Amino acid sequence: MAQWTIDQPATRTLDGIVALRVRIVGGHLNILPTDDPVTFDISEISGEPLLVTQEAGILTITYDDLTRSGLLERLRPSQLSKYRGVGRRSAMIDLRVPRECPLELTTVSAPVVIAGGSAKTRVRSASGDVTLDDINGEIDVNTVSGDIAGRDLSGSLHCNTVSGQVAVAGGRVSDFSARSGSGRLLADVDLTAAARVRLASVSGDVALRVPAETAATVELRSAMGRVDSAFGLDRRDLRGRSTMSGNIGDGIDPATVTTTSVSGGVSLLRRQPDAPAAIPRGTT
Amino acid sequence: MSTIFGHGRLRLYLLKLLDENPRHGYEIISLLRDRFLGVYSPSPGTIYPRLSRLEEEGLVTHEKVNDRKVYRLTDKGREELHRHSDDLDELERELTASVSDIARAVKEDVRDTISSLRAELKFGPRGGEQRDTGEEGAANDERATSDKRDTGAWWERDWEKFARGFSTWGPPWSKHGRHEDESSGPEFDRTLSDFSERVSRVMREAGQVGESAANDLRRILDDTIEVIRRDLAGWGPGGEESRTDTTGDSSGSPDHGDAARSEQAGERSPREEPPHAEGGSSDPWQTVTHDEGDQPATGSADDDPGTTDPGGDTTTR
Repeated sequence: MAQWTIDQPATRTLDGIVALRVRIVGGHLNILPTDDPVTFDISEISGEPLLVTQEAGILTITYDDLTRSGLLERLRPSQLSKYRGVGRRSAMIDLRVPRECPLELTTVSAPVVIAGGSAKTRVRSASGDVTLDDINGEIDVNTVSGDIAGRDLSGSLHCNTVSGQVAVAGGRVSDFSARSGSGRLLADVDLTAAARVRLASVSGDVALRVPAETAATVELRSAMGRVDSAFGLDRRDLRGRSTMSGNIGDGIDPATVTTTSVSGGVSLLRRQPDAPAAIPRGTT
Repeated sequence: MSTIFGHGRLRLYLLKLLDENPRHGYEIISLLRDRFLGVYSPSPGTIYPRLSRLEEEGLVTHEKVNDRKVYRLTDKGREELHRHSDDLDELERELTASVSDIARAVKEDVRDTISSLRAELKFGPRGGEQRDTGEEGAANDERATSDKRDTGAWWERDWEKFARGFSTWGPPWSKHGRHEDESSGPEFDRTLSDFSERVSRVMREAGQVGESAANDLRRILDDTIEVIRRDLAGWGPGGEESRTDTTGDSSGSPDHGDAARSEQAGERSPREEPPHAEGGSSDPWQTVTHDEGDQPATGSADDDPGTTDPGGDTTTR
């Protein structure tokens, strides 16, 4: 086991890392893939020094007093106050890890960017925005007020947020669930055969776009919001509940799509076959 | 990203890559792309002219292998590389440090994608999307309209009642309620948007992270649908909605009309207030994490049951 206490900018290269765990408060956290050994770069540290531990292939970056298990449970406001100057803690962390390295990241206000990866990815943040690009694996993101933005994500994807927005563009998902309180849920994805999609919001609008040829069993519900579909679905307007449901496309293994909102609008859109499957990219 | 390669640095980097191994042009391009994680992707139009120029300078040479030019460093090239080894070290260092630059580029890239998606989805089935879908979509639209016509009457009636119920909640509601009672269309929309605003605020204030919160949301959704469906017909003007608290707690709005729960909600609201009053920050997490000293932090620790309870309470249901 190797351990470092880092109180000033540091860059290190480590071999044999198979998993990464980061728990920080403020600053930022960037994770990019590499085929080389793991490198981490920590800068602009303020507040307490960071504790970096390498043990049994697990690289952990956190604070001395936050090392024990169940950190997030103790990261609630009441417990936070027990830790000296937690709010002042901040560090800029840039990491390059192998693609197949599982990630478990927790931040309070630090935004998280992860690009490239094919392993289990868990991110929790209170107010930090989470950006994911080109990840294939089991993805689980939870935020309170941070937005969740994803591009080209495949595999299983679970997003929960209270007031943040969830937006997912591109990618091919087999299991996709997103829940939001007031934030909007937007997704433009391909579905694998027998995929499961569940989107739910309280007041945020829900918009899902799938390829026109998608085969799926669909149910769209909203208590007070408008329900729209670009596919031919049966509409039923009961008291305090609009529902559209039915089957779209014809495939052997239809996907299941369920979207629910209390007061947000729900819409299911179709992407034309001739429309580019790839989402237009930014300028960079 | 191109700034990384200002001042003849790409040239140096090409020499370095060729020093490691003889390579053909495409390999160099893909190596560069890998090095920058696909964010910087040099085009053949950038790389090949540079390789030719290096060749003219006598720093590299090439031989044809399977119809492809494989470039190799000459001794002169190796000397040149040696002379600039300091620059190369610096370049390597900067490339490492640029992880955060790359991350920023990735982030902007994803943001751009998302905002273009947002713009596209904003059209909705009523906009361009549905026109594209042809007859099927049009028929669907028609069906929807006729449905609305059939049910329009009761919707309007009930929403009027609903709105009046809301109007007794407090000044913000009564304002809309009274002024727009006549036109139930805008009133309907207004009520909806106000409702969602209210829920949004509550959600921001809830400050509960994790699965439990999300599960709660799911349950609230289902509960609310049931409750609204059950109670919608029975709501009269004023009715049992005579609560005047404006603390819009998370369960209060959706459970609107459920006497047992509104009592529970009423007892929760006073505890919910301190975090509102305290500081401008509506997010209890932020309130705490931005605390400068121990004193205020302790203060908010006392308030904590209030701030976490909205989530916690719903769990127990």
